[in-house]
Amino acid sequence: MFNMLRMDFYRLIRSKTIYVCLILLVTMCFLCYGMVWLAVTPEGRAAAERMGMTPFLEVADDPDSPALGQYDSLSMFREIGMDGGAYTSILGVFMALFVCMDFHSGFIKNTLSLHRERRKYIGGKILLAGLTNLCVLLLLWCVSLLMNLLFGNMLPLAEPGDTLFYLTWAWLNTTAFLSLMVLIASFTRSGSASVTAALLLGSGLVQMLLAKFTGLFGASGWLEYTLYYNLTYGPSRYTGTGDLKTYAVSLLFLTACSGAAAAALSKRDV
Amino acid sequence: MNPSHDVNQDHDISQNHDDAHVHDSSAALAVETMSLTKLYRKKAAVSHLDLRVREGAIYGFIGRNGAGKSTTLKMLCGLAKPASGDIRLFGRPAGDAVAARRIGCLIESAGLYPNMTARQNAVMKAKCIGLTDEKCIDRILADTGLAHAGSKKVKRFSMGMKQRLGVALALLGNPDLLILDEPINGLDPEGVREIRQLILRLNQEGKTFLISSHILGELSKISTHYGIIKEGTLVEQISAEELDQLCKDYFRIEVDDARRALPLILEHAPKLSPEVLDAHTIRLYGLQEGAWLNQLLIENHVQVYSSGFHHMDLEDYFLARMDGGQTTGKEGTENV
Repeated sequence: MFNMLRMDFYRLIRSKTIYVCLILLVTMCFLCYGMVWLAVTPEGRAAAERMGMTPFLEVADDPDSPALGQYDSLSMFREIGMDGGAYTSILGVFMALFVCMDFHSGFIKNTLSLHRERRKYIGGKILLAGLTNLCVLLLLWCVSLLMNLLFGNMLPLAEPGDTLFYLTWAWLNTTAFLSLMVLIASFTRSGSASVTAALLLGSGLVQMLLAKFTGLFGASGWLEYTLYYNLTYGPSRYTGTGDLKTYAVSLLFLTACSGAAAAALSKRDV
Repeated sequence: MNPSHDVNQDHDISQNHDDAHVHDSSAALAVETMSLTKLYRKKAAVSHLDLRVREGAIYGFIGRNGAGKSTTLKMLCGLAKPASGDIRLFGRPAGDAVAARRIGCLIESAGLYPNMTARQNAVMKAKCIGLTDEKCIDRILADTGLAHAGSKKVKRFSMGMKQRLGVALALLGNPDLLILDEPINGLDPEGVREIRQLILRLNQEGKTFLISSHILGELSKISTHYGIIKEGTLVEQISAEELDQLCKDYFRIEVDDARRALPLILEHAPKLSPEVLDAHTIRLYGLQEGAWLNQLLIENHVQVYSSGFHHMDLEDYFLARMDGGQTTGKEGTENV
């Protein structure tokens, strides 16, 4: 399994996709901080007016818009890409393409003829997903802090304990989502199907539509047990054991998806 | 592989290889399948296959398209799951990690990442095996004629280059058994010769090969054993010596009375080896030219109905077995 992990890392650092994902996430971070700077700081507002962004400023001045005072570095980080599902969608697309390339290229024949226990192949991919996710998440967090610094420390820093609590469960949650992508990619072995699934599931579109539909029959409670819901509405700080629910949901998804992916790969010939 | 390889060297290898062809029935089995069966939608792609490949052999696995060759090889490589039956590789179960480590395979097209170079693909496979020494990668790439592929990405490779790289990946990790499915597909004549030389050299070093190919002429140059599969069933397993014996050239003559013809023939050509098939038909082994024989028989009032040399190669033999008929061979009839 670790040999496969070494092999996958070798490919990962030579893959363009991961760099495209990183550029997208960093750009998103820069744009979000830039918008906030334009909307709330005197220098930014002056610059926005010079650029003719009056409608934008009107929206920013709307009393219903959240005030900057409600934000700290952690809540801003969540707003950038985590809560809306952009982060999971982008990394999900990456993971789907990464796994499907094994099938598309046929290289999986080389791998599975050596490592005949297919659960080890899935284990290697989940490990890769977890480690990549950890690196990208930490990098994005660092970029977010750097942006805050660049834009003149607009936002106060969140408590380290809260940050650690959030980043831990967010990492587990997004890793579970990536394991779901591994499952879908192993099952469909199709790049386009897996990418579509990553976008629909990562953005929460499918979950929200299904919840609306089941809500007609008074059964939308299941939405609270989805990865998307937990990532979007999960706690930013630990207040009690109830906050650990998000860990439980993530672990359950991670275990179930890993097992199902191993079963899906074992059932079919390569 | 050195492109300037001397033709004589090729001949030498073949010569040595012929010496090594001696069928060693006591050799351990590299591959053994017991009643191996694979079903696709309840239809048997492979049915009760009992394949035996001895260590040190070059086993040519032949059959028509869809006969079940690739499916069998896939099952041996752990890429397809048998419906029933058992596979043993070097005496161990197919799922055994040690046995799997001793196998290198190239099944159907070479599985390669298109956006990587030949070396990067080889490094990937080496990492997958757990190899840390990258020198062996360069040696194998040189052996397969890819040392100068450089930074060219696999997506820009010709079919032949991809196939060479597939063989190179199969060779990584110094496996004892190489399972190659159509390894010379898409190769130019020089490439075919180079792969042939490589196979023969590695076989001399003790490696076992299980090769499926439609290019029977090429297969017959290297194989020590053959297995013929038809509609998922193994029709025959035969050694090269046995095949040579079956395919030996002979002169077939049909006369009105074989009992009268045979003493006449042997009187004039005592070194010939005759085989009387029935009261009218004689096979003569070792005859170089047949016209004088016809003349002799006619002059001695033996009626000759037909006569001619028979030759059979692997292709004829294979086709005859596929048709389910007798392996009587190609006939060059000299009717009298």
